[in-house]
Amino acid sequence: MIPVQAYFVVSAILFIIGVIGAITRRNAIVVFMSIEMMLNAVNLTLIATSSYLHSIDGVMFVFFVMTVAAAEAAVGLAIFLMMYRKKDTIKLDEFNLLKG
Amino acid sequence: MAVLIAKWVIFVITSLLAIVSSLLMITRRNTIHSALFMILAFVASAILYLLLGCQFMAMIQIIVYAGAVMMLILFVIMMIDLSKEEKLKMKVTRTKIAGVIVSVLFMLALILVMGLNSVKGKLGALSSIGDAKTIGTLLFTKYLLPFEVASILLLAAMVGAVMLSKKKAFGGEDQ
Amino acid sequence: MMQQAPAFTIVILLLTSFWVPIIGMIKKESAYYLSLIAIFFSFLAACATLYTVITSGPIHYRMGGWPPPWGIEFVVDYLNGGVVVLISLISLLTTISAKKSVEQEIHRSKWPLFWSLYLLLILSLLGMTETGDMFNMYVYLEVSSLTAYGLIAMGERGALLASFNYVILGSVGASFYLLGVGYLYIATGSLNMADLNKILPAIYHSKVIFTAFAFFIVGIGLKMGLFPLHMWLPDAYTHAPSAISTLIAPTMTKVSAYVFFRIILSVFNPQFSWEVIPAATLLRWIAAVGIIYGSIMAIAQKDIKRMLAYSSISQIGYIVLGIALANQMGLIGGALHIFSHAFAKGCLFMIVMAVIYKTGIRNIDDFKGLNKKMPFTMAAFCLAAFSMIGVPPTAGFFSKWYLVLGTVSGRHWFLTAVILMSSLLNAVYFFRIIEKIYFSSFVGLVNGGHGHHEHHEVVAVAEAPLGMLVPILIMAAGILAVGLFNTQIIHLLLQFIVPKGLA
Repeated sequence: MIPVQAYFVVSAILFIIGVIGAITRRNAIVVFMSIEMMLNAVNLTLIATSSYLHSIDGVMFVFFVMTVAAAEAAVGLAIFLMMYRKKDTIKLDEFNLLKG
Repeated sequence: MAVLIAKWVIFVITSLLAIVSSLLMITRRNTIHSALFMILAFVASAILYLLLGCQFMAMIQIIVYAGAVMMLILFVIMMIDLSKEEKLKMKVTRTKIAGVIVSVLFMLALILVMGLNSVKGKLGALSSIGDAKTIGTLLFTKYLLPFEVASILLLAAMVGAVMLSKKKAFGGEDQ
Repeated sequence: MMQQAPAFTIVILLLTSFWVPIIGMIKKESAYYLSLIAIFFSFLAACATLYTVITSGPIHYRMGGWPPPWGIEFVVDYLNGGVVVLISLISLLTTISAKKSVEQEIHRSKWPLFWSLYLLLILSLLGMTETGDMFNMYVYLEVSSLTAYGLIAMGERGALLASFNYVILGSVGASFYLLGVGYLYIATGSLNMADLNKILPAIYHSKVIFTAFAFFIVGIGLKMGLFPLHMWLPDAYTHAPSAISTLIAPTMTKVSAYVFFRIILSVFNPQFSWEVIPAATLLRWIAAVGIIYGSIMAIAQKDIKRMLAYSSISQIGYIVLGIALANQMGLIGGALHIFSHAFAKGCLFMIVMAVIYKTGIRNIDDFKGLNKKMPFTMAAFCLAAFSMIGVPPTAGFFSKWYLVLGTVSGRHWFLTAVILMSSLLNAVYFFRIIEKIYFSSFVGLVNGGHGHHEHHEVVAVAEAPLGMLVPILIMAAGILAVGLFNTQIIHLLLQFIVPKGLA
């Protein structure tokens, strides 16, 4: 049996890679993918716990997290597309997420 | 014993695959390459789910991410003009460096905490967590409320996306 | 019947939000009236909930009849009973006053979808307040974020970018919250709040619990615009449609502040939050810096919506300060400040919405002499501004008074100075506007360069329409009511939130 901590460590690494991607990249789509990566890391933690505890709750949470991730991607990308369509108002330099 | 060694080998290979491809995802300039590495990372996670005995979620992972979310992202990439975005150099600012350093420190702390910790919850009596029947039954009994809330969530996402992408906006002013 | 009231507040809104776009296809105008009726009934259900809580104690409503910790339940007790009524009252008043403004700012073809999302936003805020389950809270949190992204993006130029920044930061915050949930699940195997409160004390020294706590603070802090995590807030409030700024400014950050209370006081035990880890000390400093930062930035603004947004950041600092003071007076002050700030900020944003609707003015310099044109609205503005500054007998005075008492009894003299200093700064930026309103003559927008001639006949600006004025006056009355009846509110509700054995 692989110890459950091994999965937690992998999940933590993936989560932080997601965080780094979300704060450093200026390409909005890559930022989205990084956020999906963070959620995916949490899913891994939940499923590992669930498997270890022999309880199904974690799996159910993952089910809902996936719903959330898909919904978020839909809304976020819709906003992104609208920004692209109204080209006059956006310069990509404004994608600096840490300003203000 | 042989099974355990095989499991370890699969675990190490898939974990490394997931980590390396997610690193490549956040560093590639070309957005399409990033997207493809993201699929790879998600497929690797799906294999990890299989290793944990959760076939159902592994399948859903492939369908939702490799199928739906990926298509969405690829559609968007195709609809926009990427040539401009690719010219962007990664601007290295002090805030970003600080952010990366803090994140990496945080990661080390997390690895220490999680790697040395033992799971303390009560043990359940389930033999398999990958069973679609168990999940389906629970979804409509115990998890009925979150299930309904998730349906609200999808409704909100749908209405929001439709409202945003309607042609006319901003008090009658055409887009 | 009365025990079902918490579920009704949500179910009514849910059913209507589904039908609004469909009926709206046939007749666009019906969308608004349907939403208004649904929000009204939801408000009645919220009042019934609070009444039941006051007369017969906290309500536990179990969905699907499964007992906790296995089932998911709604729990309404003394803390969130008041918040539920507050949220639904402010939503109702905002909806009444928003009709004209929405018709002006949003294109007609989008009305049904707009109102549908609007209902979903209120629904998710009520859900966040009532739920007794950490994971369910995450799902509601995401519903509220998703609807808010969509609604904010409906605004003027710049709204899309503001909304986009909010999407990124909001998603990161929600992921942090979710990882916190995951770690709690690892450590305990349960996510029911009451259950967690029983399990957690035994394992308080586990590092996993620390980590989960830190993730919660960051995730919720982002959602409520706590000082270093506030980057999304000013742009979102400024560029959103006026109706949406008016809805989210008094409600969304306050609900998150409530969640903050809930996590610190009843999920984790206060002894943990304050003694096992030095969270209180850290939060006190963050809150103090946030209070001063928000006030100073507010002084520097020209756009009134942006000024109010920065003032919100400062006020959130007060609420967090109340929690972090870790004594009886501080907690009561923080909780009372949720109410007083919700009324004051709601009133101010409604007034701004009415002014923008009638005149299109947003720059503070253009407020000159508005009292001659909109006397009632401007009187309400003064009252709300006094509450923000903390002039007795408005609500803001009493909540700040309890906070000051809290700092004194905890011997944090520096924080006492911060509160007084910030009140002074609040006075600076509000009196700047009041001075313009009352002591300069109205010059109108077009004739702005002509100096001090009277242009009353030329620029036809009159008092706000009745539909806007009445909610503004009710909110102003609310500010006074929270102030005058503060002892009753504390006696009926807030005294129960203070954990036993706290000085």
